[in-house]
Amino acid sequence: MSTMAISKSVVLTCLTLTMGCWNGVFAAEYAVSGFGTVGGAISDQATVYQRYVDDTGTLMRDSLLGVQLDAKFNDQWGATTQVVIAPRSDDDTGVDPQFKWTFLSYRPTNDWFFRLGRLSLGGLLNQQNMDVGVSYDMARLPAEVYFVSSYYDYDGASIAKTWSTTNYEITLDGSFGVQNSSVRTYDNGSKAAVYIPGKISGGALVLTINDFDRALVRAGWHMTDLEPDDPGGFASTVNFVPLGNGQYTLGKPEYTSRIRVNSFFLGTRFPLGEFMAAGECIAVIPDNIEPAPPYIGGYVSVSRQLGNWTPYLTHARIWTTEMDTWRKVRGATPVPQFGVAQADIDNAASSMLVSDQNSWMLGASYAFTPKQKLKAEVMRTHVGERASMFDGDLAHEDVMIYSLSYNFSF
Amino acid sequence: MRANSRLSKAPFSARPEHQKLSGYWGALRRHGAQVFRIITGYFFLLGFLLAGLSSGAVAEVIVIGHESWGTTDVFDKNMMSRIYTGRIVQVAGMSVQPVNMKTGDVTRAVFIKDILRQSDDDYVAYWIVRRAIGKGAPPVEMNTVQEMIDFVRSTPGAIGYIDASQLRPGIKTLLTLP
Repeated sequence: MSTMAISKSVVLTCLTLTMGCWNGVFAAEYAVSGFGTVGGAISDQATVYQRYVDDTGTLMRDSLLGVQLDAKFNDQWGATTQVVIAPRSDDDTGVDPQFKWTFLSYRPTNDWFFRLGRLSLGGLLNQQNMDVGVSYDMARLPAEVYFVSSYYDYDGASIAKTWSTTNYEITLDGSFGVQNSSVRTYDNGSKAAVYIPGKISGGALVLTINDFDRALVRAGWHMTDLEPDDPGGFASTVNFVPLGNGQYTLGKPEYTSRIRVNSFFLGTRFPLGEFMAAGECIAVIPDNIEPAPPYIGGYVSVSRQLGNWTPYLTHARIWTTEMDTWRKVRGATPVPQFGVAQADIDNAASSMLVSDQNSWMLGASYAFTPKQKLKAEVMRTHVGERASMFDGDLAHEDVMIYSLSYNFSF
Repeated sequence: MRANSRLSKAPFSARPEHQKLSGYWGALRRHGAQVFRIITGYFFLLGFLLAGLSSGAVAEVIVIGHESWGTTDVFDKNMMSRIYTGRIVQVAGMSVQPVNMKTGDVTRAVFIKDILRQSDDDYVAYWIVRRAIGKGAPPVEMNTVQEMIDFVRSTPGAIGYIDASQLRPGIKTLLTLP
């Protein structure tokens, strides 16, 4: 039985157990909860940002609805299923219900926690609760850091060990699993998004230290292998054919059937006088893949609670450490008789995952209750040479994005 | 111009005594202090009454447990905080079954403020996150004090909290707040 088949069986088993409890088949306590966001965003550019945001406005980027069923069989065993209705992750059109969490949990003692099923590897401060908008104050978690977070939902297992001292709680979380996912790129020449489906397998180690109050530090390491469904593999090396006089065109790329990616996370949040400060950074290091060179992302954010209001200011940045290959691809000469048209060069350049952008976000949340929040944000994103989160050839431009959302849980 | 006209420009302190104490304003001045004391008294009395209604006038909150809790020495505020935030599920080999009163209950507010050193809103928000990331569900909530007492009395490992004046036989006091 293949790994994917095993993981699907586990997920289905967990789902069956959870639904069985809900229908009274198994004697257990159960609870239903949910969350949702109705969010709109609009920018001042026709170039689409983060799949949906442009100057016509959209509800697709931030809106979702999630329902969670928690079943407790006894003091040690339980099960959880979480379904989220949100835009599809392998297509820019349409909305799909997706199983985000479906796992069996076992907690034999205070310090050990085992989970088996569909879960998130974790690592970023709000990665595991990023769909629950009411659980944080920012209108949207900085894409410069969080745009890869969907690749960390896995079918697998997680083991967590906790150590408690008088003042601190230290948790080491280890997990591994597989998932079917798609890597999204954008072909500027053909003006279309391209999804490359594949299997992602890997594991993570995440260390969290918190002081039982509001301060927290988290560090993590993910190691993942990407294998495309296409037997041709991923393009790994871009080749160039010299044409003389310093000119060159694109040659046939080399392909690989597997890409290894190491990702490192570091994040913290802590009170700073009357303010709360938070910051995270991520370094994603693919192994020798020229179309997706290593990059670093990070943000710092300061907020202050004033009654029901929490205004905040955030600065985020992402940059690719090596952009020479991308620059060279853009500078290639089209040679139609060699089968290299300008559109091919544009597609090759725009499909490369390189980024050079930074954002300033000024926003505020208003908490009607702990379960209802209204958020508004103005964001200015500066694009340097290229930002792969934009669908199109945007360079050295400022983009304004306005967001408003209503977030709730029940 | 009448001597007691409001248009008199002389400062009050410089006016003859009969001007200070005659007419409508004079009457107000004569009885004003007394009226003010009466109004203020009623205001504070009303305030105390309303405060009593809104706060429930909790004298002392005690943490209670099922009689199966053999030793209560292990329970301190630190332990209670970890129990009610889901970090501890077993004490001395026994599974804990913590229960809360409903949001808005005065005893709950006092308990959360003292044990967790946070507001009820922050506590609710904490559990929204913890539940969303699959790390458990918040303690079950009881609608009335009697429900709380009945649950704690009948459930091994149960822990709850009540106003000290409502302590009944058959349940154990684990901790007294503050």
